[in-house]
Amino acid sequence: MLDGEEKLIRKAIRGGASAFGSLYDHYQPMIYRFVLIKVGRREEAEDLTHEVFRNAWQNIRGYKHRGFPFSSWLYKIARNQVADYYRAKKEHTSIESVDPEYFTAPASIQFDLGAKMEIERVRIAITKLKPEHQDIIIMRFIDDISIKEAADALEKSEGAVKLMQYRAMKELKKMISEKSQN
Amino acid sequence: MDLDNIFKQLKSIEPDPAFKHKSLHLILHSAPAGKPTLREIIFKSVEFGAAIALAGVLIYTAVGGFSAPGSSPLQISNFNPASLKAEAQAVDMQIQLVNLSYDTGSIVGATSSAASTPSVASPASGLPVLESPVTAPSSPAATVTSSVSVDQALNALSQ
Repeated sequence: MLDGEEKLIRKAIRGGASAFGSLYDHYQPMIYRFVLIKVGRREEAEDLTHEVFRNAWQNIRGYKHRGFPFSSWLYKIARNQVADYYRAKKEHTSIESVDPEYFTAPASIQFDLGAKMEIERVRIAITKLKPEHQDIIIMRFIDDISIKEAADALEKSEGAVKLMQYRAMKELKKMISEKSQN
Repeated sequence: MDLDNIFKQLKSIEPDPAFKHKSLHLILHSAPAGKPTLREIIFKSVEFGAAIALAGVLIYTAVGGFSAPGSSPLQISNFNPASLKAEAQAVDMQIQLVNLSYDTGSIVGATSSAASTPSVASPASGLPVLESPVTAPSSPAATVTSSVSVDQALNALSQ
């Protein structure tokens, strides 16, 4: 959670562009990662991330601070945005047939080919999980958000999130080991 | 495969700084957030009030409480209850005649048994089909065993 987040949110609700800019700077990378891992294409991840923050800015007046970090709200928007994306894209390309060039090799970090292939393999395995399992793995293990935040974003109890996380990890490991054997 | 290590590498994914800057610029310039202006509040209030009023009028009209001039039912100038009554009676007569025509079998049965009973009521129509003058043993219509036509029945009734 960002320091002074509540104050920034209040300012953003009053129309403070710089306050919203601070929130954007802090949360944009994690929302981008979340979307990118789910959609697999950099350009589309950028568009969807842009839409998430545009929606957040347009609807920030309706935001009610309930003690949870702002990220929970952003994740909710992002989940809906990704769901809409897949709904609209009826004939979407199979994840496995995606040209590896589309997958973002982060601009600032260069992986060697072997590492890149391993990352891509894990990412593909994640995308094959149930949407909620995908969400929990990205939120908890990649974006490092707390159980409480994830529970709020997924609209579930903390206990349910812990259980879901356990099942998601188990499923992911199983999937990866099956792929390795093949 | 070390999943923790892969997750760490995935954590290091960052968006393109140029995209980040451009996106924020577009967002902040496209839809400024802020408290609603007085104009927006007034517009929203008028909009809401109009919606409620229209819904009220619609409900009032739907339940039949609305009566605009000229919207009352049409008045027929040559409306005559006596002629309507006569017409209704004529319709009733036609129905009875039709029953006579259809129930010829029952009439035959009725007429054959009429010798023992002076009056037979048709169970279907609930009306006395053939009264005693017709069904009397002396009447030719009552003794006929073949089917009785409507005209013959009428003739018998007129006598």
